[in-house]
Amino acid sequence: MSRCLSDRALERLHAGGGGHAQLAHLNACAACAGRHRGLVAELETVSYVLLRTDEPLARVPVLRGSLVSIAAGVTAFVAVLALWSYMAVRPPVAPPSRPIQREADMTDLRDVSLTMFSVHGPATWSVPDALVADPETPAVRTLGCEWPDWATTAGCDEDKHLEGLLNLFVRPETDG
Amino acid sequence: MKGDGRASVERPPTYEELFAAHGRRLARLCRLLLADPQESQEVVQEVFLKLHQAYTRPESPEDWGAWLTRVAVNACHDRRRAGWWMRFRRYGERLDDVTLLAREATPEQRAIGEETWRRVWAAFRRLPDRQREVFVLRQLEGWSTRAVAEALGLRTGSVKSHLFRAIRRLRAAASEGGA
Repeated sequence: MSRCLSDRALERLHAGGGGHAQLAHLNACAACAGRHRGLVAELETVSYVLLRTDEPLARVPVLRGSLVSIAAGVTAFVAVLALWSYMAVRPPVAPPSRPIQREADMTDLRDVSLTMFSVHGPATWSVPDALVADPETPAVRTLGCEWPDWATTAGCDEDKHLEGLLNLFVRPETDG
Repeated sequence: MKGDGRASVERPPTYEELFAAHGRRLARLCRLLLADPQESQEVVQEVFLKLHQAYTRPESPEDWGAWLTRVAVNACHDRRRAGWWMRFRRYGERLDDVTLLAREATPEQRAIGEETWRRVWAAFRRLPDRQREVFVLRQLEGWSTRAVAEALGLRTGSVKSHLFRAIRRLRAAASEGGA
């Protein structure tokens, strides 16, 4: 009996596999042949079920419904979590840097002007903002330059330009 | 000559004869391979559309039954590969078509036993696609190992291996109920 075929070997033989020795044993052994008949009967039951009966349907949609609900819930949770983490770790909004930059530019301009044109050392006055900001001011326009920018850099008429620039930096008279 | 031997002795079968001879069989085959009634109906229509196109060609297959089965199996294969998105999109539509399962068991189901019936179907649905295809063609359709291998593009050894695994699982499901 110890040489009888296992269930696995019987199933393999039925599927067309197995060796010649196993097949020979199956043909010779009544016990194994009986077990093989049992296997065939079970497969006939399976075939009968699959070919002659309706498939149980109701569980499939219920499962699908729950899967869809779970998927939707997980998606919503992940979206909320992502939004929350984005809001939580986002760095504070930096204030606009434009005014600061403008102020720094003005300081640089003052330094350059003082270095270039000051006769009496550093002065306590400052270049009127309007001149730098708007070259169309009357003071600049009086220089008669083709390009207003020249009023603060190089001039179209150098003497006139220099004079105009020096007038710009005249120390203002203070009362008292 | 496997599927339509009766009609093909003297003249080639007509389209209507082929539909009558194979329509139900293919519907069942697709239903087994796809698990979705609506989808399997669509595949059967697709198969018979292809039959209509092939029927008008000068070169026609000798065995229309085998040809139809092969086309149906390939169409089911393509459907499954189309993926979950198509099924997901149809989900809402399909709920209306569901047969409520509070119905009475048929005499066949009662004879087998409801538990066995449920277990066998569940085990069949859990089979990998290849094992299911091989089992259906080899065990239920009665094809030879070589014919199954040719239809599915497998080696005969692979067919035997898939069939062995499918038998093992289904048998376990069936015998569990009887024990």
